[in-house]
Order: sequence, then structure tokens, then C-alpha cells
Amino acid sequence: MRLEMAAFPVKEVRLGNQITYQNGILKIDKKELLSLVLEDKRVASADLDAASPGEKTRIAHVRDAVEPRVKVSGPGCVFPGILGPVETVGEGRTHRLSGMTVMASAEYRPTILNGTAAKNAGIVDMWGPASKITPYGTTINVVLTLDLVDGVTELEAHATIQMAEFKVAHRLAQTTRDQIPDSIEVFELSDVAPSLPRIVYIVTFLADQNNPHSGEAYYGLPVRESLPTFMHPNEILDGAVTADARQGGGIHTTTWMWMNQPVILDLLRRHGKELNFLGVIFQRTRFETDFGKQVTATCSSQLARLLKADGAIITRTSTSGNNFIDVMLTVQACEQKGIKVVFMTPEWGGKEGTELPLAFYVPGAKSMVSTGSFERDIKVPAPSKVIGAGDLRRVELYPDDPPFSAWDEHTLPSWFLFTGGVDWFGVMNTTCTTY
Amino acid sequence: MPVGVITAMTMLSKQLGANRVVTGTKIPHPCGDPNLSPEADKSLRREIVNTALKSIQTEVKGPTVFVPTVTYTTG
Repeated sequence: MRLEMAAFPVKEVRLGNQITYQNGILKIDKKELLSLVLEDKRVASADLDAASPGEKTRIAHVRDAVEPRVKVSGPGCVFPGILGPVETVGEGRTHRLSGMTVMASAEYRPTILNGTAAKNAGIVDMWGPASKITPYGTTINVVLTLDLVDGVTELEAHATIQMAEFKVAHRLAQTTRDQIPDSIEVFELSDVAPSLPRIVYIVTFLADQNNPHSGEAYYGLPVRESLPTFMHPNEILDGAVTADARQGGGIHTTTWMWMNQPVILDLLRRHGKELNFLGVIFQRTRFETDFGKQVTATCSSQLARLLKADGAIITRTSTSGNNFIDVMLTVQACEQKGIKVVFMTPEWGGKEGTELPLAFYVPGAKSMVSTGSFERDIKVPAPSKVIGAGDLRRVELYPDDPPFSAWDEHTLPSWFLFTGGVDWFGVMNTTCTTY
Repeated sequence: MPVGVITAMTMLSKQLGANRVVTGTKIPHPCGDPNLSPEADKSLRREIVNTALKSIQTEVKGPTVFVPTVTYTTG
């Protein structure tokens, strides 16, 4: 499977009367894009704006983000199972508008008012301290603002928000279809020298099977009571993994992040040079019994062994302590099968870093990389402009949190209030050290 | 005073040093199983609580897990 990823870097976004891409400038016809979104009768009203790095702009009620990509040759489409038929992707050529996102800010009347199944949102600052803790402070964000009609179910709300952002992203990427890209990167798991170490990537994610959407979807299907699945990394770059578009809080992984998954990209780039990248084990975690946790750990480690892996990188995607046990047991099961593991995770540890950093540990976890803490306070100044759906003077991020005005300066108690604020994959440059 | 903790996360309780750990059904419902009929659920609950009562009458040296007879309907 050979995938050519052709990049069209976006340096500036301008609102205008047509959709064009030229010399790094993406012009956007707001009217055309909004008419696409308003085809869905579940969207009551919609608007569109753009925010660039350095502007004193705050984006509120962020639910998800996505990178504009379009398949120009090869089977299937970007976001298979959602924008087109379920067909294995990861081959041919995909065009991407890099350095930007289509970000969905949405409001709707919820039917689930509390708990992990409820909607949540993040905020994004384009300047100041909060712009440095997430990837979205340095991307140009085309923000789609959506208000949904009353009476949508939670799953419909997800589907509506997701379809709106996907359609807009797809339409924008279409403009590059006949153009020559700035650069092309080829991703392929070709045969390599047998002396190179065989590395598998175990990407664990939390799937809450009782929620309307489990959190992460495989080819559009929310993953529920499932055992680990083996994937080619190129499938993920083509949008085979997507997120719940109702949950944009910092503990959640956006669809944009899955498409730009830094561990996958780095392993692909080192394939054939420093290592032999075997592929991705996509592992659902947060089983509700120790028994289930042991089953998933056994299954993942056995897949890795059957692939003859010498080593595994393991990451996770949730602050859940419950899920942490599944992941640690997977680390242990791999080590017991003779597979060396590097486990990458942010830490708990409290505001001062003096509390317990990990909820559970196993003797087999010998090599870990810390991607930082997310429990520190962060002071953010008042913006000059706020973009977003709903009442921006009463922004609610998580259910039962006291609402606050997006227009004010605040000291917020955790980085996970920002979309992308928890660094699951080591994409930012924070870490924890002992001193 | 002897204490028995009923939990579905036995490994975690053991690691934290609980002396008597009784394996519960599932994290959201450690003392029963909504997938069962009311009669079967009642007998499961009785089995778990009886195991807990037995645990606090047992002398232990350090964290010990007491396992009731449970048939898991899901993971």
C-alpha cells in the first residue's frame, strides 16, 4: 500500500466570492460553504469565520477539528464510511491543505446533561500562553459555527456537526485537485533490511460503550465492545479513524489529530532507515472488569508477538484511571512476551507535581516517556475577538462547570479546558522531569 | 477493625494496600449485574456479599483477594 500525501500549505485564508488556492492563499466563498452545511435540516443556523495565529482571537464551544483532505486517486475516499462507501483506504494520492483546520463550534439542546456521555467543548486561543500548549494555536482555523435545531438526539448532533465540518473540509480540499503540490511525501511499508528492529505501534483509545458515540470510530463505526484491530498506518492518514464530534475538550483527540498523528508519521518516516514499522494495533480500552482488561492486554500483546515485533510504542487517549489499567496490563503482557515497550503518557501529579503521577503501575513498565502534566493553572488574557456558537458570555466546557465569559481574562484550572490541551502523542514540547 | 472492599478493580486495590479485596462484578455495578434476571441478580449479589462477610472473618497477612463465583456476561 503506497500513499502519496501531497501538501498544499496554507499561509493565509481570505474570505471572498470564490474558492481558490494559489501561492499559499486560500480564498473562501462563505456563501457556497454555508449553503452546503444548511442542506442538512438539522442545522438551524450556521456561520463561518477564520482565525490566524497571533490574532487576539478566542474560539469557544469547539467540538472537533479536521484537516481538509481529498482523495485524487486510489480506492475509496477520505473519511470512508462517512463521506463515501466503506472501502479500505491508504493507497493512491491524497491532497491536503496543510497548516490549517476546519474547526466546528456548535451548540444544541442536549438530552444527556451529565457524565462522560454528555457533550463537552474546548476553547482555542490564537495568541498568548494558551496558544503554545496545543497545536491549534499555530494553525489557521476556519471556524464553522453551528446551531442545531431542537430535538436532535446526541448521536444525531454528533453526525450533524461531523458531516458539516467534513463537507466544508472536503469542498476546500477539492480546489487543489488539478494543481501541482508544494511537496509530496510517500508513505509505504515496503520490505526493508532484515537487520532493522521490528516496531509495532499500539495506539490504545478509550471507548465508552454506553455512550451514544463510543468516542472513536473505525471507518465511521463507533468502536464498542471490540478486541484490538490491526491497521495499516496509511488508513488512519486517510481518515479511517474519526472522533465523537460532540466532544472537543482537551482530554479528547480531535479528528484533525488522528489525521496528523505524530507517532504514526514519525514511524512512517523512519521506516526502512532506523526501523521496520510493522503497523498499528488499534486497541479499545476501558473494559469494566479486570477480566476484560486482561483479555484485551493478552490479545494486543499476542498480535504484536505474531507480527514478530521486537519493540512496541504504546500511547493512550484518555485521562481515565480505569483505562490506564488496561494500558499498563498491555505494557506488562508485551514485556512478558519478550517485546520491549516504550510507554508514552502525560502524568497526573496535581498542580505542584507532588501527587501520585500514575494511577497504576506494573513491574514490566521499564521505559516511559512523560508528555507533561495537564493539571497546572493557566492564566489567559482577554481577547479582542471571540468566535463561536451559542452564548459566548456564558461558555460551558464540561457539564456542571460554572459558565464563564469568553470575553474576559481568566485563570483556568487545567490545560484540558483547551482543545488539544492534553498531549497524548508527544506532539508538543512539554515533559515532566525529576529535580 | 477488619475491612473488606468490594471492587471490580482488584489489582488496583491490592496495589494500594487494601488487605481484603473482594472481586465485584463490574466497575459501574460492583455488586450485581443488570444483564441478569432479577432472581439471578439477587443470587449473584448474595454470593458477593457473603464472600465479603467471609473475608472480614478471615485472618490475612497483607493484601488478599477473595473471589466470589461470578459468570461474566460482558467484559
